[in-house]
Amino acid sequence: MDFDHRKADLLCRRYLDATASEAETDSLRRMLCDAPHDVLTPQMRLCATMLRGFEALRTERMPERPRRRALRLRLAAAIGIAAACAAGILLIGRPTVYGYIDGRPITDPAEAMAATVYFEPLEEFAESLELAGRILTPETH
Amino acid sequence: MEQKDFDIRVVPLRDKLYRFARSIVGRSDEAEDAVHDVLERMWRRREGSKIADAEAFAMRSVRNACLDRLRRRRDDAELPTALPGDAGSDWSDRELVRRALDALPLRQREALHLKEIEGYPTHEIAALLSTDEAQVRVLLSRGRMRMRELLEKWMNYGL
Repeated sequence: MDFDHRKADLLCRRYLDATASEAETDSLRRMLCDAPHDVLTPQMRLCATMLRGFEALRTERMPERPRRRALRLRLAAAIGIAAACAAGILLIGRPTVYGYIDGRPITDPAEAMAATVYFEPLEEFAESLELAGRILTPETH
Repeated sequence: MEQKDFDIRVVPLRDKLYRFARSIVGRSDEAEDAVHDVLERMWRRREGSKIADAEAFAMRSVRNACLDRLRRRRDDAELPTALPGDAGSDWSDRELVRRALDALPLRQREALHLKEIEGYPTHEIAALLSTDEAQVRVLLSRGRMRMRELLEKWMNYGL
């Protein structure tokens, strides 16, 4: 079938001027899509590209993926949980410190008990301290 | 609106709303967010609301949501003129047309999208854009002419 240049040219112009009807636009689309590439003028090729591009964009679908905000919240929650777990592991895994000797933490209960022996002589001063406290504190009647 | 009604009348509009949103904001992720926001709002207010034309309502809501996003971005005047890099000849028609569409002023972009991609009749486009049919035809004509210029430039010179 011969390509009707005059009609295609007229429809192209009407399409670009936005004066073409729906039927005319459909007719132009069919003419340009069916015609061999080499019979089209540069103007017609541009119209054909536009029409094909629009048609391809018509099939675009919204991606199926979780909402970005929800994704961000989930990520934040996961980071929070991971941080809490790490802190928990550190706290649980850390040995109990019973005291310090020369800045060194004592984690062995037996060693800590042994260290308390050094403080036993101080008990002798306990009574004197209590007496001093009574004398210095004014009585309230 | 009942849940069933929502599923029938609103959910199938998802892709159409997304395409429209993407045309306006020019970015896929923002378009998705805008559509999700609108659908969520419509879902929350489904009871007690009587929407005669759910599609028109949803399209208008998406448009408003996208315009708000553009205002926040402060680039609503015009998107940067998009050039497809150095491989113009390798570009598919779809990407060329998308870039050319993105390079148009917002009103022309909206009108062309609704006409060419969603197939809306002129009077519905006029209602959605709050304008008249003559103005829509002007927008369509200018938009197509500008797109033709851009495509010609990119296809001939591979810019």
